[in-house]
Amino acid sequence: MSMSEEAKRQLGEFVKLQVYDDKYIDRKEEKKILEEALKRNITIDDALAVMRAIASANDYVVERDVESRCKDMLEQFASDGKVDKKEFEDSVAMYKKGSRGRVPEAEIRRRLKNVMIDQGWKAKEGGLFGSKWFSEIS
Amino acid sequence: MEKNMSMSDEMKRQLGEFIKLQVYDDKYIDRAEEKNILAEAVKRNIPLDEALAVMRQIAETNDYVVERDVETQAKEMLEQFASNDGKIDKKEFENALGMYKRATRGRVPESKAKKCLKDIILNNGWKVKEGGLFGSKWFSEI
Repeated sequence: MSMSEEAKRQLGEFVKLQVYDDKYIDRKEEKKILEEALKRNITIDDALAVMRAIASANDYVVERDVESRCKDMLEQFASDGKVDKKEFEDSVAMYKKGSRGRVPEAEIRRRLKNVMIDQGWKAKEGGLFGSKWFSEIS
Repeated sequence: MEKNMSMSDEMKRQLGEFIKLQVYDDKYIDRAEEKNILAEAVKRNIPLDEALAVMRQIAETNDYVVERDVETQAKEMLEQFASNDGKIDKKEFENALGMYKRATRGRVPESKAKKCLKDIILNNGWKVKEGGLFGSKWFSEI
């Protein structure tokens, strides 16, 4: 099961082909890369190691890593009870920067809202003069 | 055909064991340990990028923390705080500190974590909001 240089090179080329237009590995592309590795009898661990090495050497962005960092940030914001609008906007900005603008802002907001809902983190909104900024994200 | 520089399963296993030995007490790879790991890889004729890939893979699989990654994450967070209104306020700094502490699982003493974040801010020339009539010198005091 050792991965030869040739198998690694071929998988590396496949990774580069997936991202040649935007240097961005989204979740679908990551899954495709892993499926391709399985077809070539390369273990998932080896394939991930190749993908990460190539991403690091070529400055590619891995979407899962960006989401993970934004999740950590929201978790910190939620640790005082609620995530306020400014904190949420900071997370959106970090996601945008991290994904180099490859994900539309409306989609980023939806994704981060889903992260919060999935984790049971609350948003601070409403009140007498407050807007429903979180509920309005659809 | 496999070249000499290819890392065999056996080499990978050995490097993996070395990495586990470095972090067996705290599951935390600090910069000195990372350098040790890379030096060991060089000794074994393993290319650095492959050694880094193995280290990251093992860290991910075994839930190890890589100090350099935590610092990068903290830097990104502080950069966002510095750019949203021009200055990092105390609450934002505390948030970055909270994330840093959580990510390092308390392996870094709070005073050291604060100094690390302060250094990142100073090295990048970011401004902080402190002082004023009733404000404290929370940043200068670190």
